[in-house]
Amino acid sequence: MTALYGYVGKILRVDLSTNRISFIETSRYYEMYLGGRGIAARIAWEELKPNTSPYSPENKLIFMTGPLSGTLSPGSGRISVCGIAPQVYPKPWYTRSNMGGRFASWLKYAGFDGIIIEGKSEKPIYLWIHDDKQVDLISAQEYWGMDTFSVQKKFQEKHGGFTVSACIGVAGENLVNTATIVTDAGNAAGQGGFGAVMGSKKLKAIAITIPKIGLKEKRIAIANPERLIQLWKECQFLLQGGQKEPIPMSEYIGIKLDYQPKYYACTQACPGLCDSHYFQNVPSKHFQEILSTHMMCVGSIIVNYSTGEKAWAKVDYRISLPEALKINKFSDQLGLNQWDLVGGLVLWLAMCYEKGIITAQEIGMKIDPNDPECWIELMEMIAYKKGFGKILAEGAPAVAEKLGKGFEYLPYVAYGYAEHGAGRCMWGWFEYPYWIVGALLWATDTRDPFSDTGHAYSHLVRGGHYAPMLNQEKKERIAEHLWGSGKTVSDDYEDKAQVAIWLQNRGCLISSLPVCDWIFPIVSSKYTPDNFGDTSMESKIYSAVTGISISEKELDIVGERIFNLERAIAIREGRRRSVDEAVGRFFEKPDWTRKITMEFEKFKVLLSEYYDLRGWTREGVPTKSKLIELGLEDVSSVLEKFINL
Amino acid sequence: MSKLNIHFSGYIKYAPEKCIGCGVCMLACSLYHESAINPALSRITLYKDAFEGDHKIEVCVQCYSPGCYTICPVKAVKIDGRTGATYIDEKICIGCGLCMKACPLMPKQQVIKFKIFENKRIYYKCDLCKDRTEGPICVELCPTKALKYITGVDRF
Repeated sequence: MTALYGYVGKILRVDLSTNRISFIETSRYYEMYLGGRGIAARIAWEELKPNTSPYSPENKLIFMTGPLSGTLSPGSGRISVCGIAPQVYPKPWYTRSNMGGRFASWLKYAGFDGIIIEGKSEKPIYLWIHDDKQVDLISAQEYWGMDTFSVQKKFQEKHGGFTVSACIGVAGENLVNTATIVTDAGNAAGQGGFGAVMGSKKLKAIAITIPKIGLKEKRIAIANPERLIQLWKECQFLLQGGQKEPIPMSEYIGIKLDYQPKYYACTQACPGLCDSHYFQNVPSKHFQEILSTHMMCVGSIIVNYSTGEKAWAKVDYRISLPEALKINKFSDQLGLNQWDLVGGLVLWLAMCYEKGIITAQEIGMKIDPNDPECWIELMEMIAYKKGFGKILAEGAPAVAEKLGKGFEYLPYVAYGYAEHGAGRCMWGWFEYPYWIVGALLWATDTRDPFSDTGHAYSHLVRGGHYAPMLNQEKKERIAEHLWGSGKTVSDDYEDKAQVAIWLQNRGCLISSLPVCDWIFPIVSSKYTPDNFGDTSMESKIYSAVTGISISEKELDIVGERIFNLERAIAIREGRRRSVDEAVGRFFEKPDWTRKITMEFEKFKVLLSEYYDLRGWTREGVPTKSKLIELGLEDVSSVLEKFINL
Repeated sequence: MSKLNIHFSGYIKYAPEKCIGCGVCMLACSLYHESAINPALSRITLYKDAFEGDHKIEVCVQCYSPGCYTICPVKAVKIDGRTGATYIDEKICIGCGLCMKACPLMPKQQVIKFKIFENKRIYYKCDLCKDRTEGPICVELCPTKALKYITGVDRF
């Protein structure tokens, strides 16, 4: 047997109905599906029946790391969480989420590449992984009802300081459709409502304690250490020009600061200084509390956010720093999806309230997003399902349906996911024509694509923390190199499909290896003479870690395979062109920057072009020849049984 | 009578205010020394308090009169001629653990560790990457310069 590099060898399977614990060899999957999102998709294809209810014992919660998790690969402390997602509206289906922090690394140091949770426990329990691959199921009766920070601290006290846990809060326990799984102070598998799936299984937490000394196995073994160190340095250079001391900030999101934020690696092995910040010991007069927590990516509720007058959905949140920190912290403690709150539910409620569509009487309280107390009250209502919170806990699109009003103000693009990268509201930073790519990504995905798929494009066209602001000529030159046409970044519906496909295939790799999507793929750099990045970095790092030599092109095919497998799962669930196409309707609202609306007919043509390039039928179904080309014969023969490929 | 004739050791200086808690020091150390990545195989350990946002590291401070050096019954603990680092020769170590007991930082700070391979304990500690001409790997890779290598000459 050849030595195993990168992977640690085993996937843990826990059946909570029978308390049975078993193991699968990771080698069964990794050559074809890499890790993370890829392996999870294969397991879902094999084991998850279509139309499974998210809260039934038959639903599975798949935690999956990849070959780069826990290694020195930049931004590698990530893990994918997959299963049938209750947040998806109107009908829950299979999708994914992922989180950073240290949980993925700890799982691998403890000896597992992933965990499949299935069945359902009668009583609250938690899973404890410790010593040499020891796995225990322990009663969590005393932890049920506890907030996510307290329960993690309790486990640290109980099992020792080198314990990292992923857990749910009250929202997950009470099956709120937008409940999160939380690790550390706010790293969360936030989208999808997987916290509630965990809650339905009565699983409060997964705690992992790794030994500080006395290791018996060289785990995680790395095939080519020197090369990995060199590649890490190359990445760091591309991202920030080498080692860099943090510079104190004079202002933050346009406000003068009384408190200096710390730069904070939200995930392990982060090579630099990005937007992720951590405020320490900020006193809040309003809440009579000293606050330390994240802001930006890990804490989505930010200070003073306004979309301006032109926006279709006007947002003008005026919350001071300490109060915003408190809202972030509180939502993490309850285990509620901040992203959905800030860019979805609260935004929608605020607009409906202002227009008199929904009244204080109906909700049981006044809605004022500038009042921190309003946020706290709303969150408590939802997490504990008190009063109107029972309805709100189903997610804003479901509430609108139930009340039969407020549809025109829903800031939700599709599938029960709030606007992101669509150029329309809170997170709609995309200008025309870039949101055309956004629309295509949204239309062909199973969730909000902008947390793990679309950032590379936005970095190229708009710049970013690591990415330079480029002029049109430079953008086009890089785009030409990447996608064979400069028109991929210019004004029109032309040549947008190949960008979406490339991003999606890469997105699959990013969450399968997995690495941070804020860093990879590195499409542009401030520090190279021509501003070119290096998109072969993922394949180089993968080769150094695993010793499996693979080129950028070959790895992209793995990404394509994963995306097609996920599409096959969706097709099996009933997904067709009509669902994809309907997503375009959201884009008929005027965009934020220039009030441009989508030309639906052009979008339909673009969608067909996308299918053609994908090797799918015009109905959006992968063809038999495509699936066979990707080594998915068995998938095609299953699909064939109920649809003409 | 120059003080340069005496092999004072350098050490790794940590600036917590610059640390972002990425753990790269720990991963790189383990990778360089063991060709594998695990906090338990690293000579430098990062502790994160995610709830307060504080980080701290534990690594041998390369003290002036190292107890580990004097106590080792088989002279497995050696002093490097170039860096002045006290290090453990893994080939000689018999796994008795006396070095660990003699260390003034232990057990409060885990700066000497052991691994168990083929039922034998082997102890190890920070050796300032004595064989790397570029200096300690953790210092070289720290993204925010939170770690600094102070040579024996600069230390005094």
